[in-house]
Amino acid sequence: MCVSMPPKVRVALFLCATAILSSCGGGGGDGSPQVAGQGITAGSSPPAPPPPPGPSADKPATRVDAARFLNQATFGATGADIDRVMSVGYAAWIDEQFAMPRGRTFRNWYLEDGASSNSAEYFDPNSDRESAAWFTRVTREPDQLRLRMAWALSQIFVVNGGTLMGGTAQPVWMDLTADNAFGTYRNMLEKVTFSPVMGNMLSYLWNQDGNGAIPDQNYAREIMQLFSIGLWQLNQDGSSKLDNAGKRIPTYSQADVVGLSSVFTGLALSSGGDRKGTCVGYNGKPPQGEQDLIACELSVWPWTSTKAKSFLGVSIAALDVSKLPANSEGTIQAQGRKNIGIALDTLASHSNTPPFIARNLIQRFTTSNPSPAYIRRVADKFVDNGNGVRGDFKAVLKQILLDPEARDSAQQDKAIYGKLREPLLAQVHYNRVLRASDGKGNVWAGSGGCKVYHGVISELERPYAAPSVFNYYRPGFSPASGEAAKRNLVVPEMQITDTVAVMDWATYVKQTLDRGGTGCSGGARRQNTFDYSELLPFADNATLLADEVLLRFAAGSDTSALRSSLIRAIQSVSGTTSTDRINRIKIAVMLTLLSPEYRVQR
Amino acid sequence: MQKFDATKINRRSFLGGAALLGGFSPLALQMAATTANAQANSYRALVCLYLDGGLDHYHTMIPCDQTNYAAIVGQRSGITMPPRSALTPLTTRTSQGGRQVAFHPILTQSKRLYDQGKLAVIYGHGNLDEPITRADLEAGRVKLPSAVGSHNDSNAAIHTFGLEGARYGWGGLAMDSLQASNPDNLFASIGVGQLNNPFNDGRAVQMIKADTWGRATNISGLEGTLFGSSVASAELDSILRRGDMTNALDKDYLGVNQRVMSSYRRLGDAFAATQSLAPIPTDTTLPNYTVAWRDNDVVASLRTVLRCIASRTTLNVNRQVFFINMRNFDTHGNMAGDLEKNNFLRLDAALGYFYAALTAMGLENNVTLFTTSEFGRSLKSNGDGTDHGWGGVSFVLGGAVKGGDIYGNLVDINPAGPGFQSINGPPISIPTIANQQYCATLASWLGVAEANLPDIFPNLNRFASTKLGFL
Repeated sequence: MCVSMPPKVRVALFLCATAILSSCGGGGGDGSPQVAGQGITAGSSPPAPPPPPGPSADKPATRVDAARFLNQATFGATGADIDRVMSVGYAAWIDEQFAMPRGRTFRNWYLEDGASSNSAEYFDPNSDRESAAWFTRVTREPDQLRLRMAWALSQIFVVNGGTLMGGTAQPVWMDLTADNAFGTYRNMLEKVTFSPVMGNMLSYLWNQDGNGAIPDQNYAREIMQLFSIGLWQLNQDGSSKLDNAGKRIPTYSQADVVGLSSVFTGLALSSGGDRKGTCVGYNGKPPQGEQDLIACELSVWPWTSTKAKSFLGVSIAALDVSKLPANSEGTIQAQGRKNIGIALDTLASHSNTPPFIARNLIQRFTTSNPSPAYIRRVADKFVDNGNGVRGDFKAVLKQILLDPEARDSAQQDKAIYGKLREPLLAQVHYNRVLRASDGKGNVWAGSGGCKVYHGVISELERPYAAPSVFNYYRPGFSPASGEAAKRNLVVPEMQITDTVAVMDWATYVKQTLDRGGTGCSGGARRQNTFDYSELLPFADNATLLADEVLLRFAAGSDTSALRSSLIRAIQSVSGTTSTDRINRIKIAVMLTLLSPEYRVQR
Repeated sequence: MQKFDATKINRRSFLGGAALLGGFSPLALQMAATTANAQANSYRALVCLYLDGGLDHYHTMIPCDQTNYAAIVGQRSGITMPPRSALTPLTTRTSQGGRQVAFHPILTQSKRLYDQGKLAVIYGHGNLDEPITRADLEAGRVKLPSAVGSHNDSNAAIHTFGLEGARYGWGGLAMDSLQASNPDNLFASIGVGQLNNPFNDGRAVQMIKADTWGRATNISGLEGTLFGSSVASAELDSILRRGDMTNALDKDYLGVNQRVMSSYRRLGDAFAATQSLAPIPTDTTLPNYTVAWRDNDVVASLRTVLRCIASRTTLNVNRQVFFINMRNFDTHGNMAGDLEKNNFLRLDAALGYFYAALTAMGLENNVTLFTTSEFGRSLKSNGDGTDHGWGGVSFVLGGAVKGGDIYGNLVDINPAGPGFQSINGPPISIPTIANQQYCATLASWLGVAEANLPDIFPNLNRFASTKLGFL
């Protein structure tokens, strides 16, 4: 058995997985319930009751206002969504999204698509299938706010794909972030910490204290630096606290990293017992095979560190194992679990966490350079949702999207407001508005042959596969030169918007307008087509067509100059055949998608 | 199949091998031949190969005198160390007080290049704002530099000498000061591969990206007609050329597009003319080299660098810096799998490939490759890996390098000794060479004037020597 102080090596993980399987996957033995399809959500808050109708003052004045809101809150404004927001208003639309049942899991998509019987490809990390699972869900399915929040959370709690025990990490992480998108921050931190995917990503699986080794510090460091409090002490409005010399003040020292590293010890997959009830396989069923264990939760084993620990001003006394009676493994495990709880509570209740998370989330939804007042209003909602709950993502999201700085153009500094659309957001938006589908309801994201960039347009951004825990780009990235540099602004997404990336984007748009999107599954090429039916009624009127395209893609931008260009370009194709009409749409879409009026979401 | 024997390669066999491959272009031959003549005397380039994550210096340069070998094995519980019999102590010109180190046995090409005097080892450099000793630290007379141990800040510290968010890297700043050496500075600072780094950006000189796979085209839709309309194509051109945007993001996004429009033709010409240059070997006679070549994006990126260097006339440059990011050195776990079998093998193959190709081009004295990493790693094992440290090790490779020597002092593997500090955690190496000294030596070789060094390396004058002598 693997119980007594195993070495922290992945070989051991593989060796143990088989032994674990019989108890974890084989029905356990104590009859604890398996919650079909909702394993990871167990414990998150239930759906909200139907919301009251929104007040009319909350309604957008124009369809452009509605579309601008939807481009912040979803993966792209569609005609139907614009109608809905016009009808019920912003807040009520958000409440409808909160109440909407979560759509199918990414893992189900992964399993149910036609090629699932091909197990070699099913678990092929280079297949387009992980990408397509995500593209299909976010492009076509209605629970958009949850999915957009999941995408935002995945850029804070970052894992970079890969495989573990034969299972593929991306669909698991897509589900974990979607499941917790409307929960609380503290619960998210719990789910992240107890996931084998993160355990593998930041190397604390089988982490131990003793046997001549010291605890692995990876998770202790990054959970502080990236997932919760950040490096520097912050005021509630996101500005840095300064010492008497005017210098920033660190939030933690190396000693805190070392102290905290001893807390994240003893974590490994369950052999049953305390976490078994939440162990669910790919299809919402009990784990079917070794590869399913990646979606289970980790347990604390009796070889967790019992030494004294201190971090961030918290001290935990040593557990004197010599004074415990025989067979006290359960006591040690409970203490280890309690210690992790103390650590996560400490991080969640730290005064840095609200502004740190608030700024990060604002940047993912509305603007790269929020005012301190905007950050403070969102951070205040993080502290208290109005009902005494801390870290309620729903309250935080509502504030981000309904804040005066998000909704009222008079509150925005036009010279700096907005965020650059990253390659994946631009790509999904495009496919969503043009209703891409392969005829079976799936969306493939490549533009060329099989495995070109694994089905994404930029080498720099693959869904749920950032190069490291530091994400595709950093929230503080500031270009070296240009206007943003002059104004001392951050433009995180510019870090991956280099000369090759804009060349690739133009090529992708042109090729997909020529022949639809492509992908690979089961060794075969898959093909999307676009559905232009929403735009076809306007294809014979250059002004109307330009306005409809700009509404969906560039709402909120000053489009007067671009609109004139579009009209001239559309009018240059004068014929009345169906090809002419489609070409006019393609011209309007292409010119818009390459313009800064589109690429900068505002 | 082509055989690649890096130990025997010379210019003639290199080009001959390329010819045998088929698809050989006379233009490439012509270009490679030109290489040995025009400009070869004046051209210089630095290639920064960033080992992203923190290279484990104790697993790279393994202490191998009897005492220190036993000591390192004792610190590295759970990590399989090569047997001492597999380690060949490096000969050094400078005395190391009886202490010896050896390359990890997988690093065969690195060792060969070291023995041939082409590769130098910079030992014990790190993020320092001032000289620091253990005694000073323990007495509280000095503090650790900010954010030691943080990946992103330590990455910034060796490439920009600031914390994360610093805009200008020393590669870009060096090229700023050398602008007059280049007829044209559009291609003065080139980034290759997946991750961009501020290393490339100066105040005037901006990074330009060279695609790993040699693609360089104009913005699609600008050439000819767009969906049957030349008006549409012209309108797209005017949309992208606007200079009157007032929002900073709009303006900068257009700026990137405009850089593509002004660079693609020459970059495309450069790639088209070098399609057969320095083909990636498929040699499988060296142990494990099937793995070393397969999907080795470092070799692919280095090949792109070579294609740019071969095209220096087209790109109109005499001085250049390049940056390549090699990922996955953050070996908190799975040391044997991640570091040895994956990274060491690929890195070593890449170094062997690069130097052989440069020699074949006749440019080995004009180009210097150097490695960076954000920090070395902890002395002690965490079970199957190591954690973030401070001082570390780098390699410098090229014909101009005074190789076959270790620059910096080997220290005894004694956590209580002067080589380590442990005031706030497990022991980590105290650097004895500042990153700024290491990098200033490289920048000087590139041509940066002595008087300009303090502008680029702000704390350089706090250290005894501004040059380490390896170039």
